[in-house]
Amino acid sequence: MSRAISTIASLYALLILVFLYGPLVVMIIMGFNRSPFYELPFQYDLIWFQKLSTNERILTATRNSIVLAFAVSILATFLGTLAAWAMSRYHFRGKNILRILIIPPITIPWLILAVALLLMFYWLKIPRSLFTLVVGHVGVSLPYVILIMSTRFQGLDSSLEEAARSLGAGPFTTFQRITLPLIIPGLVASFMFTFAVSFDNFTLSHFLAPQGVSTLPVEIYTSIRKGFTPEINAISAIVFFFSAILVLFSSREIKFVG
Amino acid sequence: MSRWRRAFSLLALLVPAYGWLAFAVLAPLTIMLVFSFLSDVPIGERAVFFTLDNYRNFFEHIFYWRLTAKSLLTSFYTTLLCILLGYPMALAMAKVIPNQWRAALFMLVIVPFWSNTIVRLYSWAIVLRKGGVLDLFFQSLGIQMGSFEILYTYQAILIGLVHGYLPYMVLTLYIALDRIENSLLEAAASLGANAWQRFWRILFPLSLPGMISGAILIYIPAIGSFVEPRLLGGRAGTMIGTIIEDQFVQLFKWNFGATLSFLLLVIVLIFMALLGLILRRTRFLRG
Amino acid sequence: MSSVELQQVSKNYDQVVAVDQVSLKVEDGEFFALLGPSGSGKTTILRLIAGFIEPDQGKILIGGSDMNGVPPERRNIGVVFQNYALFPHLTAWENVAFGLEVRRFPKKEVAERVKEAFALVRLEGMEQRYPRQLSGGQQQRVALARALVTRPRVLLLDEPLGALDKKLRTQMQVELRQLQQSLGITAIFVTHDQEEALTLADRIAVMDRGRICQIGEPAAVYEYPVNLFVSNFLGQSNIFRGIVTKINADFAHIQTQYGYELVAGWRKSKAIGESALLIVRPEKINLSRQPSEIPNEVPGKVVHRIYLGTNTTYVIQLESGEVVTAFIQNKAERSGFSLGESIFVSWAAENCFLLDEVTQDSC
Repeated sequence: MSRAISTIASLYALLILVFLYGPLVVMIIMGFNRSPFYELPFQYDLIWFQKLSTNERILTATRNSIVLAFAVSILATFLGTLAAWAMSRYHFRGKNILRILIIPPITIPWLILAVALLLMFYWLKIPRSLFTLVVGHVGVSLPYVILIMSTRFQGLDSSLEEAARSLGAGPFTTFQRITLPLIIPGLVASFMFTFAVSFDNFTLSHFLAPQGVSTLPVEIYTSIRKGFTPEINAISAIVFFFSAILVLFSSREIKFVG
Repeated sequence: MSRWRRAFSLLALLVPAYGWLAFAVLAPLTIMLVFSFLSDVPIGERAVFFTLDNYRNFFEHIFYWRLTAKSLLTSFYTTLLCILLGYPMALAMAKVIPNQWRAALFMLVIVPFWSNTIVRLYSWAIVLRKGGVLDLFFQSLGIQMGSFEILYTYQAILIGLVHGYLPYMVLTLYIALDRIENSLLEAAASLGANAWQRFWRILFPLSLPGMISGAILIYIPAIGSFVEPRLLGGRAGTMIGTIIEDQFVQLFKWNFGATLSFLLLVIVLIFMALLGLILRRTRFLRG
Repeated sequence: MSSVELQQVSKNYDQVVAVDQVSLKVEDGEFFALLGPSGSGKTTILRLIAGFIEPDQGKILIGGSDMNGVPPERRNIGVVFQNYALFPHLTAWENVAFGLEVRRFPKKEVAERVKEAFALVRLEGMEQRYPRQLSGGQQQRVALARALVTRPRVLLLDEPLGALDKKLRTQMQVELRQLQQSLGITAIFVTHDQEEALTLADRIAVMDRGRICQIGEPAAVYEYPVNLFVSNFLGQSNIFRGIVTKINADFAHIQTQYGYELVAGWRKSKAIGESALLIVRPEKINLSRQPSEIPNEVPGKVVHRIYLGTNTTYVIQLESGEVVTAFIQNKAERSGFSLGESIFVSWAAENCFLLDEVTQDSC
């Protein structure tokens, strides 16, 4: 590999990274700038973070987002794992159909799904609430969990379970002592993935959240529409670091290379 | 295990998840379809009847056609830009950059991809606005072109979309390129192919399935984007997605919104089928 | 068609020496085998000749020209890879045509040559199939056809028969040899299978840990190995340790550490009093129930026997406790020896040789 090509490749990679991270870095830095109008020169100040800590709306929205994401993650991971388990260990007709059914929810634009859910809840006379939010979030997360866990189960050698059974372990014991420990990385990955998806989700929350209950993305969106203030930078910076850490942890578990 | 017990346990495992999907995805979409044919929202005692007016409204006004076309085109540009920018990146990562940095690069590409969309777009808004970083930068260079303001233009929307979807393309292409064994390229070299020929005749065709997968993951969701146009597009930010959102949030014309949404769904499904077909025909490329 | 020469070539990977100052010359038209265990550097040498990697030191010459800085695509070589490296998105025909197309041969000539190549490897009728639709043996032939169609100066083969089952492998060995001879092309072949090397090669280079132990014709390397490593790597060896007691023009006498007086027909410049190893290969050994006049004869007992169809392997324990292996052909007139039977182990002096005493098994 010639030196020239190596250098060009590295430079290009750097450029792309600048593109991907540039604005985020700027935004984070501006969160530490005293000026409320993003004016230079730069003066380091934590004033916006302080204001953030007293901003009830944002804090409540953040708490809502976290609680919601937790609930959604637990539900989606649990249900999705059960389904993935069934698909990998049982043979039955229609398995292929079930596999294909996962694709639409992943690719259909969330706007359409959100609209549809809104209409359905309205028609069923179910008022918008945290419940409707959970239904929606779990709905869009389930396919991802099924996908991740299916791959995990496929990679899991079934002869391990057969060996356990041949040694006298019943189905539950086998699951508990053999299968479960081996799929824990996949479970963790599913949980974190779902958490990130739910926490980040704007579209569904925008349509399905009830009055007075806001999630963080919705709150940030509203603030932006009202005008730029560095408080938004502050909370955005915190959110960004949070998701970065989440990615770093879960990346060890998710095998992207099939 | 008896047949019945087996069937029972199978159902017990599958029904919760797929039942939820049916309730949260299939049922709502069906109801949305129904709504699109109704004259009004069924509140209380209001009379509601079946009508094709909503559809007529769409098909008769060129405005909506143009808007749909604009959204499709925007998706196309986004996908194209992601391919053009992402391919060299994936190639560098898969074939050129030494192994020890690959994992780190991979990580670095994923993080923005998973960070909050609103946060991401907001950061672009800060950079692109009048008086923002980019503007100040060009002013400091002495370029006098009025103020450099990309925010609230169509280009800004594209930037926001590409920024969000680029990692998809980089990652799927990286996986595809990584799977192509080096021995194939060495074989080509031993047969006399120069660098360009090795790329064009061997590497590129074998990376096509990955590229199409990436395209599917980008093109289809991008059609329904409305956050990027809203936050970055200003007046240029009208697309089919924003119109749909308007029907529900601003105009309370839910039936028409349902109609637009359903039509968008049909378009999405058509493209999904098309791209899926192309993908299947290239599947044999994978050794 | 060209010769290939390596002059003091070295290659390191991090701290590991893969190739250590290797020099060799492959003559034009020769079928040359690089034989050795994994890690011996044989594949590295092949890749250096092909140009996929550059040497840290030394020169590589093909047809007399220095290949320094010349990329693989300009070396005019043919390579058959261990995993065949067939392009999965191209048909067999397109695979074979590839080398001609990138060199911009006219269509008509491409068609002719490809047809020829398929006939050469006897794979007519399979042209339109994709690699995944072909069996291992068929893929191998396509790989061969692809490498040969460009009429390269040198053919490089990296353990190309490794993935085939035994029967197919034997068949392919014969075909490969015939092909190479009829085309007269210089071929360098990497393998860890000594039988394969003995079958195919005009000359063999035995390698270990980056160094060449011995180069020579198969019979020479087999019958007259220069050290214990080569002796053990090609075929089996029965080893007796001892001291040289007498030397004359044709023979050397040694007394083994357990007191046997043995005579070797060839020695490796030994002096009286030096310690040496006497090596006799199992197929050279006779077993009989009666003692005879053969100078190398020791009594022992059969402790193990393995029936292998063409021959029977006997493991005999001598009075000294040493163990000797013998391959005896299964012929009707010689009934087999049973376990525990006392027999005499003998061999002719010309059928054994002396090697240096070594502490470890390497070049």
